[in-house]
Amino acid sequence: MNGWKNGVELIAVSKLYGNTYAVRDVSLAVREGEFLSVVGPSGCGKTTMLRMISGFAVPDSGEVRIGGEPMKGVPVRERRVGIVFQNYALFPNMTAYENVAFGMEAQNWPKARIENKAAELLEMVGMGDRAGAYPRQLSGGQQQRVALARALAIEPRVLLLDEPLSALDAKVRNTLRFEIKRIQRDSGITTVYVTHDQEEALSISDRVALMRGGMLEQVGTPAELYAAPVSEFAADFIGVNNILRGTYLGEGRFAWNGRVFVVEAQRESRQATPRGTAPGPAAMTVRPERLVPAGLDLKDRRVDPFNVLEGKVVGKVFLGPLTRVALSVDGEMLLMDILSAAGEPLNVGDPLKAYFDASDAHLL
Amino acid sequence: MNKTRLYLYLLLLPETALLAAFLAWPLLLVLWESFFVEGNLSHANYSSLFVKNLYRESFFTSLALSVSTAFLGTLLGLPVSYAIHRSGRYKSFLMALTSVPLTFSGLVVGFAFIVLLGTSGFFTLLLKRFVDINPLEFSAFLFTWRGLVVAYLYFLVPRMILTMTVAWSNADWSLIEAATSLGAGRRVILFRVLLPMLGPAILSGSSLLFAVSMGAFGTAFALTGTAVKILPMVIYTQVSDMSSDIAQADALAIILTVTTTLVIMIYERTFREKRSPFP
Repeated sequence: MNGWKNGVELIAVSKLYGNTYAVRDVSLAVREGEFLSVVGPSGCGKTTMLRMISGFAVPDSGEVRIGGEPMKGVPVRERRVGIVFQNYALFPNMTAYENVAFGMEAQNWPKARIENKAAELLEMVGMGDRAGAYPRQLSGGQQQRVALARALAIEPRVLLLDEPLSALDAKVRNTLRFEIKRIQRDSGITTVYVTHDQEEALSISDRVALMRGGMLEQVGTPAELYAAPVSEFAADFIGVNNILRGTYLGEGRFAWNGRVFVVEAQRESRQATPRGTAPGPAAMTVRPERLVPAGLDLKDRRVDPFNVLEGKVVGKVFLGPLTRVALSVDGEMLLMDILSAAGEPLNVGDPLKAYFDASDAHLL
Repeated sequence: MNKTRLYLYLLLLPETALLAAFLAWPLLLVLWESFFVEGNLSHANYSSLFVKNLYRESFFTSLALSVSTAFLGTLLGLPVSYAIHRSGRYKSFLMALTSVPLTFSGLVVGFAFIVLLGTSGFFTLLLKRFVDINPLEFSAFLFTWRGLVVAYLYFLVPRMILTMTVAWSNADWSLIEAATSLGAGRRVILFRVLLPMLGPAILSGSSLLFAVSMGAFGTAFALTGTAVKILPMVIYTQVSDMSSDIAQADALAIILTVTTTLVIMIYERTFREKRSPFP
């Protein structure tokens, strides 16, 4: 069981609330030291899954293992899981230091060791100079730093984070996101991170588990989820996507609105989905940044004359480095991301040709 | 002053006028009169608390009665409030039921206890059928200050329950979960998380019970007449008897008011300081 010492395994786990499955037949393994995010829309069962790992919820069937040990009947306080809550859940009557020391005191660690460890952890999360502050005197971001230190203080086998950043504003969220990642990497702790924010999940995880309706939709590295979604739901939920519903004609040809695109379904291994190879109704996805304005960037490309879409600009949003353009093609709207600096400024109403490379199309 | 502000003050006006006319003014009048003995300025009405046995005893009986009811009411109300908080769809019904005793006048409560537990009360006679008791001896306790404790609890426990039910639903349960995940046992959670979290509400509830039972009159009057000397009863006799001494009654009323206010103020102080150590 090497490599599983402090890993987490879920084996065919289900949880019912009333007559509906909150989690249904989920099997998932988190390797020791891995950072796995569970992402999905609200109500998809991600928090229930986390609660079954921590022990606050008991699976109706299936098994949860931590470090290879079955957790059935093991109470929360003996599981050695560190939890970070969305609302921080710091003890309001204790200082930052006392919060961090709480778990170690509850477990009767020697006093000197508690003092050292608490000071060290507060330093690590950048709160060394606020040890004497009460939670109400700290900002949300600072409180969550203390909460992280508190969770790590008991030297847990697994760190569980339940939407830890969703109560914070965008800027703090971004800084703290990478702080969490740094601390996780340095301590090498197995981490399960629940979030509804797919961007957050993609940016910090080793692997991402996408959930939908209590079931796992797709598990993979951020790059895999982004490049090769297994379903329309995955394609739509992860990042921004254009989904074109049409017919796969076979032999790398996809028909949409009377046009035929070259999609090279056979050649690309990452498109080895079952539906992608059999002719019939299908969907094709292409990311906005993979739609290139034809005429700007075509010189050094081997342009496939099939994959050019002619349309009209119906809207644009300036995103800083990129400008997101809404292109109307035969009454359907497609999004394309264009480098803001590139070429002449586009205006609403302008005609625009968009090109995509066959290898950038993904078939579902 | 902007317009919204002006409107706000206008809205406050009726309440302010009411309080001024029926609370502040009478209280000042009572305070003023309490310092006169036969037309001369004097503190005799206050020092009599230490001189006259009746006054001193009534003060301490009132204190004993109020402390006991506050303590027992808190003890009884806590578990019930938790049960109601967790009762799901029955919660609103149980809350309504809990409020019913609060709508009865104190006199009614007093008579209810006589009818139920008095010498020829329902439960007294019922008990007599099965056990050999003397009804007189059995219900004698009802007409002492201890009997008042029991009767007062009838309308004090609901107050505690209502206060605490709110506190339970405002409680942050993730704190308990956090403590559990950190390896804390029941005892540590109780003393370091749950009590600090609910302490302010418990204190607020019990100081409310204390204040209410310090001033309660009707129930005691119905049950014991003027036999049990509690402060409100002594004030009543001073005002109503042939040998009335209004100034003395005024002084006792001030003492009653000050004691009650002090208890509530001390509670507010400790509570505030606990909450924010660095204001």
